[in-house]
Amino acid sequence: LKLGKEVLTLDLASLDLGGAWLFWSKEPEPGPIASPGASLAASLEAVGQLAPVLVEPDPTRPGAFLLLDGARRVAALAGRGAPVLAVRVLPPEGEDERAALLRRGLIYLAANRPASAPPEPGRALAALRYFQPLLAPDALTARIAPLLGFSPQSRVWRRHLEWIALFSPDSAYERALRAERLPLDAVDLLAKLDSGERAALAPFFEQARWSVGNCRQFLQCLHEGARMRGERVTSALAPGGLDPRAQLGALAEGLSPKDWIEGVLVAVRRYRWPASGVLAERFGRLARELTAGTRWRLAPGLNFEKNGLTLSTHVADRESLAAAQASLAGMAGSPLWDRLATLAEEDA
Amino acid sequence: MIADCSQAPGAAGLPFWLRDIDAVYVDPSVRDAPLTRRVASRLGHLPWREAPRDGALEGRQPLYLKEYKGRFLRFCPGTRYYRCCGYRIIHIGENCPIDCSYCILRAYFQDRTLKVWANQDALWSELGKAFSTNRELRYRVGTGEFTDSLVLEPLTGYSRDLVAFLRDYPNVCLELKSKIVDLSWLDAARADRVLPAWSLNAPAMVASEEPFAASLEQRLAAARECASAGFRVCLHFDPILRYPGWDSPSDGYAATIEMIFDYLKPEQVAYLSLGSFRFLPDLKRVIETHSPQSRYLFNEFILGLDGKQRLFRPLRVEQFRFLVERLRRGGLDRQLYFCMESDEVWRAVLGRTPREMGGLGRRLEALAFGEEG
Repeated sequence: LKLGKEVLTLDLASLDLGGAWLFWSKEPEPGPIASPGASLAASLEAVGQLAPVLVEPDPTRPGAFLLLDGARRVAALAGRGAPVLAVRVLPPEGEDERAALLRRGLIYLAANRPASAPPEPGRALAALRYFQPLLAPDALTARIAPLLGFSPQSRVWRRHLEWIALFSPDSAYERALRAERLPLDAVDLLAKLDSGERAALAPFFEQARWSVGNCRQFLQCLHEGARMRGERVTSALAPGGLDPRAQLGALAEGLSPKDWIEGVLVAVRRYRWPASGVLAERFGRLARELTAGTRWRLAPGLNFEKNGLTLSTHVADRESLAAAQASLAGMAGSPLWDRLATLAEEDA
Repeated sequence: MIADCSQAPGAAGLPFWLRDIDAVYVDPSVRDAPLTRRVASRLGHLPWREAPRDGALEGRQPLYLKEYKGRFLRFCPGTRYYRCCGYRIIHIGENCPIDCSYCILRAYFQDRTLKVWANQDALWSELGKAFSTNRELRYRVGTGEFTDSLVLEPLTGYSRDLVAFLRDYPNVCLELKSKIVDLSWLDAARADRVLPAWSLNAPAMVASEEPFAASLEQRLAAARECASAGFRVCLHFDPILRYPGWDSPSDGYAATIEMIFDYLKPEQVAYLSLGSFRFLPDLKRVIETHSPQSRYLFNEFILGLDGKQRLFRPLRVEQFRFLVERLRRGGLDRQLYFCMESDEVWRAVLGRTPREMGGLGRRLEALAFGEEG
């Protein structure tokens, strides 16, 4: 990077502020400060512009400049009608347009990249979308991932790449991601669906906030349940099934998002595990009936692979042991034992 | 080049499932073995190299003629939690070029190298000792556990050598299990001590999951040819897959069963096994990567007693009943058995348990040796 030796004083009219390389200039500022713009304006008011912005000559407008870094400072100074202090970057001679765009983006990224942790997904995606058309895939990973604070081999970097291959910045999914209702970690499962399926599922992410675990379970159950049946995920979402609008109605009626998500997960698990889910529910009902009023618990043989039951209780002392014995004796004559022990055969 | 391959026929003379082989590696100790010379006469158009000590072989699908130093005669790796048929393995090599999507070998071996134990002298010596120690002791053996019994036969002639060797051991019954058709060994074998066997599946699964295997018609026509030559044959529905349409009369399991009786009489079948798809988690990853369109991979699989994933028991029983009912209708009953199933499943489907038949191993031994059992 070659810089001019003097600090220039420029008026706003000579500055082009619309460069695509200023990819984070319209992103919300990260960090805990509620209104960083106001804080910057107050500082400029008090002590003036301490750090010059970076500019380079506009090759299409003699005497004008392209802003390379410092968009927020320029915006704050413009509000005060003050001139802008700038340092000139000297572009290499004979550079083509693509190389110039890459260089400007790298300057902007170097000047603005986070000091430690990688940026949040919305900012990382904005940077990636700028650089992607300028670099081959391998070079994109080798050069940009470290600058953004990602390991090039990391899963989270791959997830970002998968995301920009699937979604545009104005998609419903990207809005959900930026609002932290949808985790980036679900993108590999979203990629297994076709665009129609993804569109049909989008309403599920309009309101409630999904954790990684819940979101992955939701998408995996739907995808695998549909594959198992040889149908599309949209079939599961038809009215009478998991219709997203009907599901969202429950939220509108005041159900808490946590309970709403739990209800949705129960429904998709039933879709994914129709036979084993029904049998487990039936077993649970009969077992509760048999052990009602006692501290005994019943479980089937491993996943119903074998007939028979596992019976368990917790005994703290001799008194509770005697109580457990008495309650077991009370249950012993029930015909439910035989039924529970061979329940998997009823289904066969 | 370490072998004289000047008379080799070239790739065009090979069956299509062997045409991916692009290099041959040989251990120095077996470079002059008869099997090596035989392979050289058929693969002379390929580069031949001495096998490197670190075992790293290059090529799309290398063939490795190896001096095997382990035990050739082994027990089948069944588990104590399910009923195993108790047969013994004659270990002649590893891996298979047919590349069926569900095959456990894809997860076991993780590369495409085809290994053949070329030190046959050591094999004959070990087998000779084992089979002659007590001539009253009967062995039901097979070579189709870690490879397909016949898939490399056009190159190695291994099964032909083996059936010829076993002519001197009437206490041994050999099962040759395959998904391709190669009957070049037939005239060297004792018809009453060799059981040609073919794995079968639903036509839809053969078409989508077994791309390099012979068609069902070819397999069953080969079985009929063996039966005509006096052999009894074995059939194996393993793995039975549950996918949308498995019960379709046109391309589901019913269609295959109907086809069996078009080609074979029940008395020509020594035994027929049924085994539901089961897998370790590694295999699921392999299938998802290499065969993402496979329709059977997502179903109600649960963790079985042996630590493998298998279909939920009521669904297995439903499929088994579907197949068994049709097989019985065609006249197959006493020959039916399950591979790796529990007594619960045996009783629910066949109405009997292995113990009630005197033990599965004993029962199959009797069927293999041509006794009613």
